[in-house]
This record gives sequence, structure tokens and C-alpha cells, in this order.
Amino acid sequence: MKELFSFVNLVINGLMIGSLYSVMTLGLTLLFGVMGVINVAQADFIILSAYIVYWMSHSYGMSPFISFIVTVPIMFGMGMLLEKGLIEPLQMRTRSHGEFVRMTLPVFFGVAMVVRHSMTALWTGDYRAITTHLTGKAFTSGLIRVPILRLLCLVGSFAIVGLLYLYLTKTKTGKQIRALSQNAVAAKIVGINVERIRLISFAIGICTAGFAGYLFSFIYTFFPGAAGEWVPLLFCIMVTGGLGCTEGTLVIGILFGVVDSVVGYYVTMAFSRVLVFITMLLVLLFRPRGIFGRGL
Amino acid sequence: MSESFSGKDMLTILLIVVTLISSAGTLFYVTSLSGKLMNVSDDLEGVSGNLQSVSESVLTLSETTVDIAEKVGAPSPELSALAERLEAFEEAMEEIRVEPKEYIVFGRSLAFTGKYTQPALMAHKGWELWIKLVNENGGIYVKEYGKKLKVKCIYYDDESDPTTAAELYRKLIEVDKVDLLVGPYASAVNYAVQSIAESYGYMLPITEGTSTELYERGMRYSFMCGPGGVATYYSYPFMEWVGNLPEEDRPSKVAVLAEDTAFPISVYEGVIAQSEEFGFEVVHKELYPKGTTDYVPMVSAAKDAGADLLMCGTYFPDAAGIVRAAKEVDFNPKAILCTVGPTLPEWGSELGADGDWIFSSSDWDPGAPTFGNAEMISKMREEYGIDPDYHTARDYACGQIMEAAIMAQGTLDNDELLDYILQTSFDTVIGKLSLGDVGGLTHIAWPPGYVIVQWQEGEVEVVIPSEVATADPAYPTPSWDERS
Repeated sequence: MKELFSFVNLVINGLMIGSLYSVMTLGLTLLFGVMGVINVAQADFIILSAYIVYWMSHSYGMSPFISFIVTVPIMFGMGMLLEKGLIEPLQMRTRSHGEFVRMTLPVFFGVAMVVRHSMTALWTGDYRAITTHLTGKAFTSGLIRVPILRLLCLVGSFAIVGLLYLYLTKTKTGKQIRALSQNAVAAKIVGINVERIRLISFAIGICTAGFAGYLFSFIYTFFPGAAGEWVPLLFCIMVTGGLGCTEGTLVIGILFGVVDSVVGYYVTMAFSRVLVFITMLLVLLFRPRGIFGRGL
Repeated sequence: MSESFSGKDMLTILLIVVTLISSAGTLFYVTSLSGKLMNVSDDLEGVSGNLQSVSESVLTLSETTVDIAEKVGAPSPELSALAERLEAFEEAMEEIRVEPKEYIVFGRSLAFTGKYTQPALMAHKGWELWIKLVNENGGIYVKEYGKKLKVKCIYYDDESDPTTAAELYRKLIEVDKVDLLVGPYASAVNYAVQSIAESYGYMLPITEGTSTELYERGMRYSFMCGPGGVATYYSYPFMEWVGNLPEEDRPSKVAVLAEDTAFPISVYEGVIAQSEEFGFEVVHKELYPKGTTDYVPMVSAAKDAGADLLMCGTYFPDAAGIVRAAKEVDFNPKAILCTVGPTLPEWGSELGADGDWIFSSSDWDPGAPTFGNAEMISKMREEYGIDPDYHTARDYACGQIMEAAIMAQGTLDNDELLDYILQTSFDTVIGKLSLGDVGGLTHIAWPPGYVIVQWQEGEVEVVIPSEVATADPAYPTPSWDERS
């Protein structure tokens, strides 16, 4: 009986970790799906947001729980700057969409390095963590344990995904974004202001990192180079779910979280990661567009 | 592949093989070329030496010419023109005269970015502190040069990556031409650098590498310089202490978790060996990959296995992750020990009360009256506003050893310094350090000296051994419920 409860706890834990994985990957998927941008720097923006939460709390005494109201707009602004400063010039200099997509990889690798090293220069390599009165506490009911902060992540993830879904399906701008991602030429023909929509979609992609970083900061300790540990997993999730396919990211993110939790317990964490990457390889071999992907 | 093996596939494979062979060949050629280039640079040194003697001759010649001109009386226009030209030539020669030696140049790479940044930066401060103090005294007297030479160090960022570090050390030796090397941070990174130092005949004082892997290789030029002993000994004083507790207080089941890299693996092996020695059962053991982010599954497994002692071979992010995971799953062993993480000052500032009661291991005792200890602590507070930790102390100790060795031998020659260091015992901030070859390991600090520390209500106290303890060990540690 105790075994069963252990298993249930692990699955619940996995769902919660997985939801965070999904939110972290969401921006990556959006940016690729809508704009064809391979944003290697997504994890670095997440860490940057975590630092913002940290400094808001330590320098200005702002409660970490509400600091998403700071991180999201800052990341949105950063997204707009990057779009104007990097994406548009890149669009002008590349001769085809395929070339643009390929070029975003080294360009954003450079962005990642700049962000990472700027953070080291500004804030040193010291390890940081957000500790609140809720850290480590859990709701218990018999043998079931649900850590409160992880539950916050789960709720936050569903909230942001729900909000994004509503935005993309119900608002005019959201529909324009989806139209652009489906067919850029047709979007122009029907009169969509492509430059403006590109700007907004890119900024939205980066500001999901702002929200993900806010959630991330409660669970994990971080330092400027922490993004390096996350990039492989995030890409794995996006690729397995389907490049640019948000449903895929959500489902696969949660699935991998559960795998990490369950396999990590019964075998080891190392094996869990092996399993995750083998899954990605198998999916790429037999269904290259990802489990939910609609094709490149 | 559903098609049969076609000629096109054959051709592709052939092309790949040819490319591999030619790359290997090019690599060989380039390395032999670099050997030749080293000879060329030696020749160039000889040439600049010659230029120096030429300029000296020209100087005497111009002086003689002026003498002659004076004796002869009013100088003839040709002679004065000649004198002028010689003066101009001599000034030009001044420019390319070889600089006399002013500095002892050390070279090292450190993890200024990446996972190991924080402890590496503490080590960096220790090394810089020693350099500052030495230079304030005018430098180190080196008999070979007949004067005091100041010290400086060239640093590169190895990003906590072994392969990057290896290349950087090659650069330090071949391009920057440093006099002496110092090892990087982390055993895994030192491992990669050892072979470079060995092949060039440079000694590698390892200040931040205690894994047994480093000292099993029989490398002549690598030696422990600063740490109090190999990593397997980190846990020994603690295991010995719990092992000798009365029956009702002793733990019986141990869980060991460690990162899957050189140093934590040594700690892991040490704990397992000591569990056997003191009669504990190892109920859960796990080596996790370096990039692990989630520790809840493995800590849950340790809890469900019934462990009442948790020993961890960690750095900082993983130690913090494990302790937080223990709180989340309500795992309450009699004690938790984690290496490295809890010895850093931000363990208390970042984790708050969650970091209390955790044990850790250090080879440096801040209160001990060891050589230069008080001076190092006060200088550290003055320069950086924080207290040193054992990483700082180790690198400072390395400086003390280097200084003593250079003064004793009167030279910067790597072989002569190495021979001296291997046979001598030194007084340092860590205590008396001497090297020995023990149990298949070469050039390690012997006998080992570690103390166990514990965070108690936001302060780090030395708790074991009792002779140097500043507080009693709080054992068994309070449960998570009891703390709130």
C-alpha cells in the first residue's frame, strides 16, 4: 500500500515538474512555430528573469510571489528590442526563409553567450536561491504529499497556457499571429501588418520566458551559467513534441517530467535522462515531425 | 535502411575514412610543426641576445668615437656626422634591448563561468591575496636573478570545462610562456590539465583537486598543493565519530548520493568504504549526472529505503537541491552531510534556516593558530569584505609553499622546485603540509587533516574533532517539523 502511495506521489511530482518544463519550452516552440526562430537563448532569458525576481526581492523587498508583474513586462520589452535589433536586420540580409531559420541558430547562440556573460559580470558567479516561508512545505493528506510551491508551478503553468490559448484564439491580434505562422504570404495579402505582428509574437515568445523564470526561481537554485544545463532538455521536449507545435510541447513536457520523477526514483536520474533522449531519437527516426507535429 | 548497400554508400564511407585519415595526418604534421616552431622561437631568443651584445658594442664604439673627436680637437665634419649617426643607432638599439626580468609569472585557468564558479572565485581570491601580500613586501628573492621579483598571474576562464582548460594551459605554456603553473578548480578539470603539464615538464600544483583519480596516474609533475588530503578522507572524521557513538544513537543505514564527476566520486567511494569499516549498511547509493536539476526522486528513494544517515558528494547547486528535496519529501535522517556547498558563505544567506544543521567537511580551521592564518583572514576581510573559506585557504597555502620553495632553491626551474617540494614539509594556513606516496597514490598530502563543520542557526561551527571544536555537534539533527 505504501508502495502505491509512493508511486502516486511520484506521478504527482512528475506532473508538477513537467508542467514547469512545458512552460519553459513554450516560448521556444512559439518562436519557432510562428517565426522560424531557433531561440537557443530561451533558457538564458529564463535565468535572467529568475535573477530579476531575486533582485526585486533582495533590493526592493518585493514579495517574490508577485514579481511576475515585473519580469513579464521586462522580458516583453527585451523581446521587442531583440526583434528590432536582430530579427529584422537578419530578415533583410537573408535571401530565403530557410536561410533565415538556419542563421537564427548561431545568432541566438551569440545572444545566449552575451546574456550569460553579462550576468556573470554584473552579478558574479555566486549561487542564488529564492527562499520563502513556503519553501519545502507541502499539503499532506495521509501519505500523499503535494509540495506547495510545485503546485504553484502547476497552477501557474496551466494559467499561462490557458491565457495564451485564449489570446491566440479569441483576440484579433492572436488570430493574426496564427495566420502569419500558417502562411506569411497569404497573411500579407489579407492585409495583416506583418512587421507589427512579428514584433508582437517575438515579444510574447520572450515574455513567456519571463513567466517561466518567475516560476523557476522558486524551485531551483541558479547561477549565470545554469542555462547550459537546461538547453538540451528544452530542445529535446520541443523536438519530440513537434517543432513549433504547442500542444506537443505541453504533452511531452509533462510526460518527460513524469519520466524523470518515476524513473529517477526506481532507477537513477542518469537513466531517466537517457530514456528521454532515446525517446527523442526514436521519434526523430520514425516520425521526424514530432509526435504532434504537422510537418516543417 | 530498406535499400541495399549501393555504390553511392560505399563512396560516402570511403570519403569519410579518407577524411579521417587525412585529418589525423594533418594533426600529426601540425604537432611536429609546432615542435619546429618552438625551436624557431628558441633561436629568436638567441638572436635577441646577440642584438643586446651588438648594441653594447655600439655604445662603447660611440663613446670611443666621442673621446677621439675630443682629443683631436675640433671635430671634422665627417667625424661629427659619424658620431651623430652612431648616437642615433644606439638610441634605436635601446628600444629593442631585451627587458630585464621583473616578475615571476604564474599561469592558471579558473572557472569564472559555469557550474563551479563560486568556489573557484573563492580560490581565486585566496591566490590573489597571497600575490598582493608578497608584492607589498617587494616580491620574492630569487638567487638566480640576484634580486626580488614581484609576482603576477595570467588567468583564463575555463568555463568549468576540462577540455577548454587543457587548451588554455597549452596556451599559457606555449604562447604566454609563463614561468610556473597553478592548477584549475575541480578535480575533473585538473585531470585534463595534468597531461599537458606533464608533457611540457611544468609542475602542476593542484590546489583544488582532491579526487584519488588525479593521484593514481603516477604523474611526476602533479602534486597536491594546499588541500589537506584526498577526497576519500572528507567524510572520515564524521563517519568515525558516528561510528563510535553509543548503540542507541548510532545510525545503521546510510544513503550516498554524489555527482558523477571525479571529486564527488572519490567522496562516494570513501563513504562506502567507511560504511563497511564502521558497520553501516548502504541502503541506497546513486551517482547523478552533472546537469541534474531535480533531486526529489533520488531523495525519495533514499527515504523509502529507510536511510537514517545521508552522505552526499556535492558542489553547491546539488547540495542545495538535495537539502530542499529532503524538506519537500519530509526526509529526516539523523544527519545530512554534503561536501563543498555548505562551506560557502551563501549557504546560509541563500537557504536561510533550511541550511541549518547540515554537516560538511573542511581542511581549514579558521580558529587555528596556523602560519599566516590570522593575517589571511584580516586581509581577506579588508580586501573583499567577506571571510575566507577552505578554497581561499588552500590557494593561499599554495602561495606560501611556492614562496618557501622558490626562496630555498633560489630558482624558477620547475624540476628543482618540484624535487624540493616533494621532500619538504611546509607551515601553511592549513597547517603542516607534507607530501607522500600512500596506497597507490602519489604526491598527496599525508597525513590527511579534515575537520567537520556544521551550520548552527546561521553560523558555521567546527564540531569534530573535539580538540578544535567551537561547538558541540547537534546530533541527531531536528526534523523538518520541529524546525518550523
